[in-house]
Amino acid sequence: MGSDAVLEVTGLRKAFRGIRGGRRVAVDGLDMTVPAGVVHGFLGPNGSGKTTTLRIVLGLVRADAGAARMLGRPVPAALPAVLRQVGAIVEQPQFFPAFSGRRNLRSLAGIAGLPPGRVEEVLELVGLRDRAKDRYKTYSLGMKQRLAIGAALLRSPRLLILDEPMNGLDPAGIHEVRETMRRLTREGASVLLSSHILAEVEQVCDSVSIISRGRHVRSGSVSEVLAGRPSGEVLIRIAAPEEGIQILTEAGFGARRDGTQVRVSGVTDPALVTERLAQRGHYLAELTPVRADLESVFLELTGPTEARPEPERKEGTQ
Amino acid sequence: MRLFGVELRRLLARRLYWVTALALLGLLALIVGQVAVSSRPANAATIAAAEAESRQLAETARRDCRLHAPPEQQANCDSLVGPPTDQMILTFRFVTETEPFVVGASVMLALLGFVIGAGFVGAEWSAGTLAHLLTWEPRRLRVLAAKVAAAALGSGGTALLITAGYLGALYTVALTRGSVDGVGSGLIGSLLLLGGRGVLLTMAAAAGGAAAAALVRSTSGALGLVFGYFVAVELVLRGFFQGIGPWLVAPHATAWLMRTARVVTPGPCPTCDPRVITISMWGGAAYLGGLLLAAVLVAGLTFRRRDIT
Repeated sequence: MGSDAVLEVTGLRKAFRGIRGGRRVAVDGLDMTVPAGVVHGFLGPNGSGKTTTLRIVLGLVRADAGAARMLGRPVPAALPAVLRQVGAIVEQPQFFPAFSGRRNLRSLAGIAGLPPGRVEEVLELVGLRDRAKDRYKTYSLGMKQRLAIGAALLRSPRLLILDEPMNGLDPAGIHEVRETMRRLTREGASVLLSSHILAEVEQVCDSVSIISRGRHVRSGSVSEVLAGRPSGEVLIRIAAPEEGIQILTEAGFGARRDGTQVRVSGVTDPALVTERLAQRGHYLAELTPVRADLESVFLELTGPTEARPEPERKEGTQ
Repeated sequence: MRLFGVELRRLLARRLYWVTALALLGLLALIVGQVAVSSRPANAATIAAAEAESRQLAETARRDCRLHAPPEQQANCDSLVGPPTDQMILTFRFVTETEPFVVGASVMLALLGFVIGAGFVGAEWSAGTLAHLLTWEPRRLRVLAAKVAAAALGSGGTALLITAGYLGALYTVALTRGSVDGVGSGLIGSLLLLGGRGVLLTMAAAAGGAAAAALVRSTSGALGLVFGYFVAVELVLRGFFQGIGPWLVAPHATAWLMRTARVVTPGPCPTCDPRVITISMWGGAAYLGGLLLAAVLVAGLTFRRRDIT
């Protein structure tokens, strides 16, 4: 394991039994490294094995094969020591419905030996101080998610594992979570963010790992993952856009208006666009290559979104 | 220890715990009230009233006899008397009548303990809070041990308070509306030991309920398991195979509470006399303790390996 990795899994494998016998492979020899001090996105289609992977590293599910190290220690063997420095949300964590938000957090703080003052700090941090006395079962989905994030932050974690943390949050809540993740990384912590919201991941993550069918597909910094994957599109600005579209269409490009610009597709070399237009007396005011976004890369890497059977609930999820 | 403290506080905050404990408390209060209403002390006033009632009954009987009896039996009518006075006065006598009440309360407390223990752990599986808890304390055996211990001690404390209150209430009824004649330290000690065994039985039932719920992952499953056992094995199967009697739970629990239990089984041949097997208090304790240990061990080993999804 690299010294700057907070989480590394190698050859991780997990299969669940089905109702009619047989086994469904949820994680299939997965390798993944989460660098220290960054927000690392963990991407994959539904049923690709993300949550199972998180459950394995947190000791909730036993791997059939492979190894995992978290904060430099092997897990699950060293989990009791490691989890003191880890905050985790896996799916929608459940709290005791009859307890207030404060009492739920105090119970957890009591297990970890944290002072009650830390609970108040976290309640303030996640914006639940005014509703801290109310029973958990009266909370909205967004408030439940805030409480879960608060619980994950209680131990001032070095590694924060968040599985779909934006679920149910309003824009303000999403903004707060995003800011919290950035603040934590500024303070030296690391965040592993599993999310389906690709725009969110692209906006907040420094690096990503993409998995599909339980296997590692690609990882690296966001720019590395996007690099070398030109979209084949450029945006141009010319004085006569309609004429430009006609010229480019005749030349075999795809061309359409995009606001005040023209979006040209099927471009292997932007110089050809310039040349064709110049030959007809049109000169570019601006040409901008369109970078591939994470969504297009994700879809390209994970293949068509064919329906994959969900694992049996009694045996495991994703 | 921190985990145990958290679990105990959570148990005491559960609605099921308070509802079941208060329901049992209400039932026992009704029983005490019924005893108080029906009991009358054997003092000069009640004895005089009972004698008057007895004389009235005797007079009524003689009058009916003279009206309806054949002539040859008329002579006997004058010899009719009323019921004895001591049978006319229903006096709650603490010395002779308290033990069955305490045994009954102990059985009800044991049932309460099982429900509390099963509900305590089963609710965690149903609500899905266990996965979150395990991201805070991944040592599963420690988690289960804390839950079992909290269920046992929480239920045991409740049983102790209820038993003490029940005994006190029965003594007060006997003192004010019955008889405490013959009450000495020996009897008090014996009743306290009986109540103590009831408390221990409640603790074992609560621990067993928690273990059963951990094994089957639901409250209703644990309750169904035990209910099914008593119906299928202790009632139906025992009806067909009486020889299994000495191996069942109920006789051992009875032996533990009552210091001894006698189980009648068929003799070795159809014409032979039935055999009577006596189970001692410590035999019952060993059986119940072994059963509880096995249940907790199986629950622990299963919980340790199970995927939490």
